[in-house]
Amino acid sequence: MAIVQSEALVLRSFRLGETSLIVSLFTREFGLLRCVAKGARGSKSRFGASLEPGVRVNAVVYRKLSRDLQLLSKTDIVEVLPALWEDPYRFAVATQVLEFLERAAYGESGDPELLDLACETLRTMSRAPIASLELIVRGFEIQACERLGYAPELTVCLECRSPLHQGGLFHPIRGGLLCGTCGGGEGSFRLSERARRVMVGLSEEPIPTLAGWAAERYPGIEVAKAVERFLAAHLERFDGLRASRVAESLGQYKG
Amino acid sequence: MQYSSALLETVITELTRLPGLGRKSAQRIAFHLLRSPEGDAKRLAQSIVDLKAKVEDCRICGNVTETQPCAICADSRRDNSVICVVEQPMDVLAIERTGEFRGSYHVLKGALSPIDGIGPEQLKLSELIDRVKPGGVVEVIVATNPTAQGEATALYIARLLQNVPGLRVTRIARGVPMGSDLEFSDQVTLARALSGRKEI
Ligand SMILES: [Zn+2]
Ligand SMILES: [Zn+2]
Repeated sequence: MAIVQSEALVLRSFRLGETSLIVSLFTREFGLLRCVAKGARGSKSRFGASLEPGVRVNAVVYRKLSRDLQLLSKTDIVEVLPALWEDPYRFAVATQVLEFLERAAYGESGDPELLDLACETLRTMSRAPIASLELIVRGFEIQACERLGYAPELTVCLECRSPLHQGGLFHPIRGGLLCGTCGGGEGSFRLSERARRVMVGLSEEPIPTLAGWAAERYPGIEVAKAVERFLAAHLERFDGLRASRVAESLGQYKG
Repeated sequence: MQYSSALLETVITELTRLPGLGRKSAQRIAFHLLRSPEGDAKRLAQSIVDLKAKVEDCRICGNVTETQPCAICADSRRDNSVICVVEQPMDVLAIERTGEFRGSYHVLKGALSPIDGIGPEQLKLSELIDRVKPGGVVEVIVATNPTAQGEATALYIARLLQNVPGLRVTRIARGVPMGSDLEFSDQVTLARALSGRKEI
């Protein structure tokens, strides 16, 4: 058993027994860690608000490699964004970032850049206009895929490598676009040039600049379809994020 | 480990499905039941059967009850113009213990939790609107937990009910727990305690 310390993002928690919690942490050094936080739900819990979803903490963990569940000893809040909880729709969209990490992150060595990307996304979401939240989460998903090693090809045809200027045929499994001459084949669908350019932008722009995009001109449905099909093809047992379905049902109460 | 008795194994397996019970605790309870007097075990079994057969949700407030409506909803001395909204039936018990509240309740059966796929449709919210809409309710007190989920749920309810004429939607105060030291409170808890301050 070793006492380790790591910066971490709190992804979610489950109730355990009368007063404890099981907490999912995405840590800078050790990737995903599931920890027991004893007494965390008691009124005098030493964890306070530090285990709420989306809080960035410094965590001290008793870690034993042979165990699935580690013991959380102490957390100090590094960054907390209560604005994320103060609007139900904003909360649901921000949760997509956390759920994505829980479903997609793997490995025991951590991914500091992915953690930074997630924290920057949440920070941007906490102050962005409601209308731009959806494109911010899409930008995060595309950029996170890039960090995980499977970014979609959006600028040249996967087959003949010729540059794309008139949209293309998106093939989720092959991981990108094909030109009209090569043809997309089964499972592919047409992506307009506008949606292609937006996706290129989402994959390249720093997340905070996405908050300033003109959200009303964003081809949301087309981009959502491409990103969701792409994730389904590249993540195991993925049938969409639960939080995104909740966000959709809360959408009518936006702002 | 498998036991020589398949029946014992069945009881252990069933017990491990209960919240917070691991295999070791389940084994301990199963052996305890095996050794305890037959009457004790029968009473326990019968009480579980009765629980499932006779206890249901109150059709008005959603609290657990054996009668329709529940004793609180049926009590004419209670003030039906004030509704306290909570996440779970256990929260009704906690508030009743204070002896401070004489209104009625509404149990949501959870809180908004996007990561679990729990949205407004999964909560008893349309039932709340049905209670409030006919008029006569002057205050809805939202007593969901002071967690991210509870806060989001409270704000959702506030927005849902904002256009009901003559209705006030309030949130229970959040702050520093009694008996604790300020210096050990985190910044979120303290900030909320400050913003919710009252004149004394
Ligand atoms: Zn081609
Ligand atoms: Zn009732």
